[in-house]
Amino acid sequence: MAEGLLRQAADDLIKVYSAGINPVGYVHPLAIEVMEKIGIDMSTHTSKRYEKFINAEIDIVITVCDEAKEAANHLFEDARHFQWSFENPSKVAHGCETILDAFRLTRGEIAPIFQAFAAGYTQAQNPVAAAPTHSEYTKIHALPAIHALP
Amino acid sequence: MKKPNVLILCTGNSCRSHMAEGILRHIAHDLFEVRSAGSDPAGYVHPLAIVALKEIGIDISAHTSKHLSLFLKEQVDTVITVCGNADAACPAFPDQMNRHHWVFEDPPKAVRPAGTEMDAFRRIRDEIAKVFGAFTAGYRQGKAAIHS
Repeated sequence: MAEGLLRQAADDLIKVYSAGINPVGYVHPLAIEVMEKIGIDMSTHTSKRYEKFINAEIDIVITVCDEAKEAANHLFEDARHFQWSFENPSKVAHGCETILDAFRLTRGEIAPIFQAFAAGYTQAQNPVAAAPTHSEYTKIHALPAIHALP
Repeated sequence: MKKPNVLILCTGNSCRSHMAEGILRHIAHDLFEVRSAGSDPAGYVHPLAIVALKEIGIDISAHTSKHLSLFLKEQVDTVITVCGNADAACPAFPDQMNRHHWVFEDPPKAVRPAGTEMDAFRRIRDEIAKVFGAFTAGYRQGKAAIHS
């Protein structure tokens, strides 16, 4: 979900990939579903191991769960590391009634962080023409409306 | 080179915009001049916003609640609105180059059934810190990529 969001938000400025320390081998269908609802197509994403990227000259590593942070500390030593942890919506229902709601909630948590990262990156690279991040953010993150989203 | 001016706006300039101003200045004072204002300023900084920031080592006790018209004649490079109301009421700034809109709940109106008002301030403080932290991280990375 973070890969899809960052790729959309950072346009052509950042090449975005994702991987797992212990990949389950498939992209969760509900992740695809909730991202499709906000116009992000993840149907071609695959579930991959981090080793695939060891020699890929990675500049930035962003870990989105605590377990990955532990493991990634010893990997990609030339990269800058950032850590923003989110609960796994397929395991934790966040007090939500359904797993689909948990996916929506996680989407709403991930979106602002990665859009803000992309906004900062874009603005530093091109201070005059940085695109406003405004409408997408409102659509995704407006808190009272998050469950009202499709 | 002169640091870009960042103006953070919400409606009351009492809670969210002051927490965001304090946090962004704390983590990015080398990158930005940071100020905040409101479209309908409450006239005071909420005491619990001051407490919530003090808990993470940031002093905003000297902040004041101001109307955004104070900044209309200045060059503002980046306007960040942190609530829905300000986005509607905020005029376009003459030299504004960037505009971001990140929505956060108004802490006094976001108290959960089992929680206190202070809990709401802490929760929204942490959300603001994450989003503005990510913005700053992205900015630093984007800048570094230009020079590499």
